[in-house]
Amino acid sequence: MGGVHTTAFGMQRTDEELVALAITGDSESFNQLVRRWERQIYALAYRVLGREEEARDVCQETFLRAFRGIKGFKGQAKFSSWLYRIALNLCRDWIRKERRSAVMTPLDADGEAPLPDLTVETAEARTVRRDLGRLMTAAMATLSEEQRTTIVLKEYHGLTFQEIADLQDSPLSTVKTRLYQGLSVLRKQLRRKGVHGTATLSAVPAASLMARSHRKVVNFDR
Amino acid sequence: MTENSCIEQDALVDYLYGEADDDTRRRIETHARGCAQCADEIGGLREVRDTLETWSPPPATIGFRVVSPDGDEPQDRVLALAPRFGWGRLRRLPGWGLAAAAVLVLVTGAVVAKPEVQFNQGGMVVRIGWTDTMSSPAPLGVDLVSESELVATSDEPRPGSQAVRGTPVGTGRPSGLEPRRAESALGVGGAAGDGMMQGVRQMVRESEQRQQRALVNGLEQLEQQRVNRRQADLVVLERTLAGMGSADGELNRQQLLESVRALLSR
Repeated sequence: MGGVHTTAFGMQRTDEELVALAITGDSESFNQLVRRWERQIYALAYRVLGREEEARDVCQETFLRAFRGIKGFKGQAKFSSWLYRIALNLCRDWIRKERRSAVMTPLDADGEAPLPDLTVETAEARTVRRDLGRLMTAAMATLSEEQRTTIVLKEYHGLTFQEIADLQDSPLSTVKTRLYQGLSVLRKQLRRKGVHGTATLSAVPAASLMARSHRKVVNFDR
Repeated sequence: MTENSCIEQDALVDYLYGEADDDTRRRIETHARGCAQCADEIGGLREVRDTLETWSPPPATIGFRVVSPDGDEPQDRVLALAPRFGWGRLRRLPGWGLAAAAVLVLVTGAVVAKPEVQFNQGGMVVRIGWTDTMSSPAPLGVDLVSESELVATSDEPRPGSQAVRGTPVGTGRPSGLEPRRAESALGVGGAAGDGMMQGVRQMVRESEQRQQRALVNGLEQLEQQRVNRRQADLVVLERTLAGMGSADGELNRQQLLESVRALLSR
């Protein structure tokens, strides 16, 4: 089914158009959606769970469920919101199941991906990212799941407060409370570890650059 | 009011994220100029946001796509997940997700993995295998199904593991065995039988996972060896190129040719 993913003028199809095609049984259109959103979903799951393998599993399962349920998706929400909801439910399932064991314990350095895929990353940048990653996952682990999810959706996925409220089935003010309380806890945690915003920024140019470009992509997509 | 400032929480959050209306923004800024505590609160929370911005997930290979293994099958019944990249990428796939990795046929009706269970005088026989021809089944004592295993099975499977059953490329095709064969072969019924069945399923599941892990470990080692050799070749190549300008030009050219040949052959 080549050629259906772009219009006659070479423009990218919107999520809604691809969903409509996928519902008719065009799996390549669905794959286009996978490629468009898999990194976002993986990043979401990684930051909520703090674990790489589980984040990949959640990412994969999210798209499987989306594919199986695509016919039931009536466009009542944005496709991305729907994906976020599936992914967050899977994250929640995982967290509840793993509650007995240590949740959000970052893997040791050797447990991380040895092969960066498309990102060119120097050894130095990788070390900095891992150190910061360990620190952040440890700090995020002290938050409640709701606080963590709220911060992740707001900071990294650029959702509006209302969109987060809809996803969490919570009132707007609850979302803001979670955000405020989460940030306050993080502030204490990071202070204790001697991390200050500006110092961290200057110390990790590469990681910071990646985070910024990532955010830009999010905004572009939205 | 918040714990650390005189500004109402909602307004403070709106302000931090640039979503406060002009009036609120002006009010907060005017107040913060004269209130050290509020200024510190705002500055501190902004620092946290700056730090958060530097946190990126590790690069990961997550590419996969949905394929239809059999064009005649209705899409909502059978689908497969295939990695977008080659086998070399298998190394990054997770334990229980291995199934999905190796090119997975998923049947949404939950196909239990073709175990065959029989009772005889030697105890219980569990046969599992990737192909239709069962090879030398090992008799297992019933007592292998320990209480702890039974308890373990009461946990829910991880997301998707129920519906997802993996079949490595090459041998992958649904066997002729009926999914429910195991239950009917048992034929004892009752709570004890069910518990035992659960234990058996757990063992089967674990065995499958072990097989898959072994497969992937093997592939991983092979891939690592290949990468190592390639890197070694590249080093030789680089050194030779660096020495090209020296007196032993002819010798170096020979070495270079050999290295290139070795590299190309991989």
